[in-house]
Amino acid sequence: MARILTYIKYELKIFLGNLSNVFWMIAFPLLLLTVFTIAFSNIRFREFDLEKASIAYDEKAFMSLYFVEPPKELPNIATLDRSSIENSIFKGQAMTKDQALEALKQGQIDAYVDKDLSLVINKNGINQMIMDEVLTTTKQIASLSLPLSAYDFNRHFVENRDEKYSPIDVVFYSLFAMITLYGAYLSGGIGNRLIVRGQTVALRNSTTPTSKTWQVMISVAASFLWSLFLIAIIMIYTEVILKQNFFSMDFNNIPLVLSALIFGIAWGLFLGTLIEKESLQTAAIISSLLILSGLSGLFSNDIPLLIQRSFPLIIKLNPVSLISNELIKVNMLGNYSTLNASVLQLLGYSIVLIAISIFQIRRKRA
Amino acid sequence: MVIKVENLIKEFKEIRALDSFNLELKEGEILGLIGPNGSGKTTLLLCILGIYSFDKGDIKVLGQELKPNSYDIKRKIGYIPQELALFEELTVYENIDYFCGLYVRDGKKRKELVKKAIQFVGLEKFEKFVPSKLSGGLARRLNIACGIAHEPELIFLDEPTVAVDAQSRSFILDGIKELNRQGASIIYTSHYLEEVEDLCDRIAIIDQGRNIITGTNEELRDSIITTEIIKFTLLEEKADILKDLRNLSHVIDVTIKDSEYTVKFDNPNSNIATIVQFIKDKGLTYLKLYTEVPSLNDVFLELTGKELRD
Repeated sequence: MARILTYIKYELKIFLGNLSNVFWMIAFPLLLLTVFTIAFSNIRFREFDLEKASIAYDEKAFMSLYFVEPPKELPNIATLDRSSIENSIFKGQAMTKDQALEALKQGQIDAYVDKDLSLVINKNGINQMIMDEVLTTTKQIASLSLPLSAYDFNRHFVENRDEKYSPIDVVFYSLFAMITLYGAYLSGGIGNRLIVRGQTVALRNSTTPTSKTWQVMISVAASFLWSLFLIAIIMIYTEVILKQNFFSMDFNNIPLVLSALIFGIAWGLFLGTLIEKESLQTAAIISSLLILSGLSGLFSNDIPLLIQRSFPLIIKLNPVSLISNELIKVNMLGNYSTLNASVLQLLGYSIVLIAISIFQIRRKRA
Repeated sequence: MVIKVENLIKEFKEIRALDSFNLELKEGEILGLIGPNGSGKTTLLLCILGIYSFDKGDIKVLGQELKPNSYDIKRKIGYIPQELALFEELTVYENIDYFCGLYVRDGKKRKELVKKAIQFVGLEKFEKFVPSKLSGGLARRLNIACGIAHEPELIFLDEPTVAVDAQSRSFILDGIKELNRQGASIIYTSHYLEEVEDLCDRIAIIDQGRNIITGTNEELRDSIITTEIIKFTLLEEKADILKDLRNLSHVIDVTIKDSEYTVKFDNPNSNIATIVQFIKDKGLTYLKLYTEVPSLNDVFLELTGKELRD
């Protein structure tokens, strides 16, 4: 154990001795957060007039009607809780799909729920996000054969949202998601230290009787500890210095953030073993993180919407989208319905990437 | 036999870096590898160390084939690469401890070994320095310390004195002799012939991926035709001297560089007398005249047809 701690200490010294690492991992995210806060603070804390969203629905999508104003005819109205209907989240009206699409285009409605309980939206926003969550939860409850009345949707999705949420938060949470992956800058250098392809340290390491897998795992552990420290700094800076209230004291953040950190390290390790030149490694890490974050809404909260329409699979597979969406759900909506699946997905990615990287590192012989 | 290399062939795409290479390292000896840049010295070391794969042949290290996971053999090996292989962010002590720790798990023992290595290379005053604060010679010593701290039985030194000042070079060479006295078998590559002549029990001359010859200093000299070299300069020049010199008996080569004549003989006796008589017969006067036994460079030149530093 003492040996492991010694090597973790050395790894951290090696990381921190590199000014480029220090800049990309500390100064850059703090700078980004500060700039984003200055740029968007007026928008974030503006008073929003959050009227009930207008939702159209297919007549057969009766389950979703539970969350809209009372319909004229509801097949199983007798089983429903009237008070929930009266305190409904959305204004609703039945429409055919064609009518709804036209109304969406005209901006007369915010979303349309088709008979399969799929949500069609024209722009991104809190109402659309809540509706999406409501539908996901509805499907899950239905699949478990539980009565819908057993679930208090109003409490889960609406409570305090007017005070807490702004559409620009999607951008911030994408930024946080990107920062959780910054361990990639540390782990990106591991490959060059262990694969003989230029760095003499790799030559020396390769002649020692210590397995490369052990060396990789030590470096990964050190990267993880450093990333954990970094994310703590970022959270404290955001909450205490910038006073931005993005994170709630919710322990569900822990598995999410930890799995995100592990994924970031695995991603850097993977790119570092694939790419030999150090400058190209850094460029690949920066650009890949920016692209993934951009797809999840870092540059505009409309981008995920556009992708959702054409390539919904990208949103489901994009790790930054997973992380940012879960951060929003946990911290803003108190919704954990997809948290476990997302954490498992991130850990699954990480295991695959680390396994490929170790295979590459062990296999490479000139 | 500590190392046995048989018919080793290593190719990089279409370039044959090692061609049917044979080599043996006996226990307790220092074997020098000399050859120009690109001759295959480092490639050979990396093949022996299991870092490079090879196309044909057989390599045995301490009686076994060295594979990436041959940890028991690797534990007995120390490697000092040509370039500095150090962490700029770690101090002298930490660098040695880092690499020593990859061989020795016991923390207490490692601490002793690191201290011993620092003492061995004379870096006691620089323990807390980072490599960038050390002179070139001191950094080289640190590079060596990182490779020998775990007290290996078999040491590979790849040109450890390149770009090192005379004082550090002498310190390093004395250290290598001491390691050998302590029982380590050593393979030493260098450009510096005088180092190899002074240090090594046997020498292998490598050119274009082939082992031209291996032997002791004397064996190498005996292997060539040249037995004596006479060099002289004349007060005045005269036509046809080169041609006439070549016609002397036992002369195998004559060259002139910066007004100095170099005459090589294949006969060990009476060569000075022959040259003095030749100059007298021509009515000339010599300014300087001296004789040399063939150097390692002459051996290399005769066997490969080129200067070692070509």
